[in-house]
Amino acid sequence: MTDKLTFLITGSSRGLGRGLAEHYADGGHRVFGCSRGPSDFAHENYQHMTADIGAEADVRALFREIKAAGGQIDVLVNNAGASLSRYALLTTAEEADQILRTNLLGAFMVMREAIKHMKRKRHGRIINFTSISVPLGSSGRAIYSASKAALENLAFTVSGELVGEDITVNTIGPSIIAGSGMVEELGEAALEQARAKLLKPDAIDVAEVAHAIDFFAAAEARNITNQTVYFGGLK
Amino acid sequence: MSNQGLTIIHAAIDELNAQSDDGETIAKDPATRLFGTDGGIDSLALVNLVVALENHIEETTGKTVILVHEDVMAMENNPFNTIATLAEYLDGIIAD
Repeated sequence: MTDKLTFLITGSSRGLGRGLAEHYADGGHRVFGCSRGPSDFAHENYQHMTADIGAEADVRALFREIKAAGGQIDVLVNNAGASLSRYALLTTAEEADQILRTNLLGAFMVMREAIKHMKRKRHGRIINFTSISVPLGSSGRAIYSASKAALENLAFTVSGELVGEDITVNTIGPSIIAGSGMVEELGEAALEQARAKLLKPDAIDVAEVAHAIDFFAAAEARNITNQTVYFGGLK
Repeated sequence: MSNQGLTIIHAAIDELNAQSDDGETIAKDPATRLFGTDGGIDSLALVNLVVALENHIEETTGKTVILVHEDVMAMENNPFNTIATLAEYLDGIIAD
């Protein structure tokens, strides 16, 4: 990507979000990142903010800070999310509520505020994150997958409310991400089950996810909205 | 009526009218109907107006506000009925 853009990457203190923050900051883009705690990533193009995206006051404060810092978000990488590997029948309401609060409500609130922010310029790119678990129907991922499926549906409706403006909403569904903690969390048996259903079962890295983000973030992608791209290729 | 609410509404309307692609504009008349079963502006235009108003209020007063919530829309005299009623509503919010 040749244009220098301003990114907001949620969940940027570790895992994929951290990798993407480093990738875009190194690429000369201005990057705002946030997570519930501090980050040890220091870069001249990177500014970290503390925010719990499941708390509305935090989300609104996050955008106030970005505005105060003179930031005009071009691309929201709505990456923050919580994971849960638990059979549905063993999942408590409290666990389900936590997952939905972060993955659905939190992502929704960040997207809503980002769109308000982008409307001033009538330009912006929203990129939400789903998971290959959704089309795979992975056992032990019921609530997690449901929260991600809801995000896909949210893109459908919200993109329809943005007709006439150069603001798009798209969704990326990574498969197995190297170095993200996913491998440790899911366990080898569950990973093997997932790999068996994919045409491209190899773990993907940050650069591959960034490639998909760049595609949606490009100025030429102004007519590409409400699309979901999954990695891995379902058999 | 204090002028601040109306000034903010006019600034938001100017911003939206300048961006209008289809020539549809919102008249800056206090009697202009914004919302209601018997008239009002297009629903997406109303959403854009609300967003522009929230931005202008924040820039002008430093206050972060949510203009539309369930209680407001259920009020017998909905503040979004006309520009005049909206200005009065904004003056109350700004004064809080």
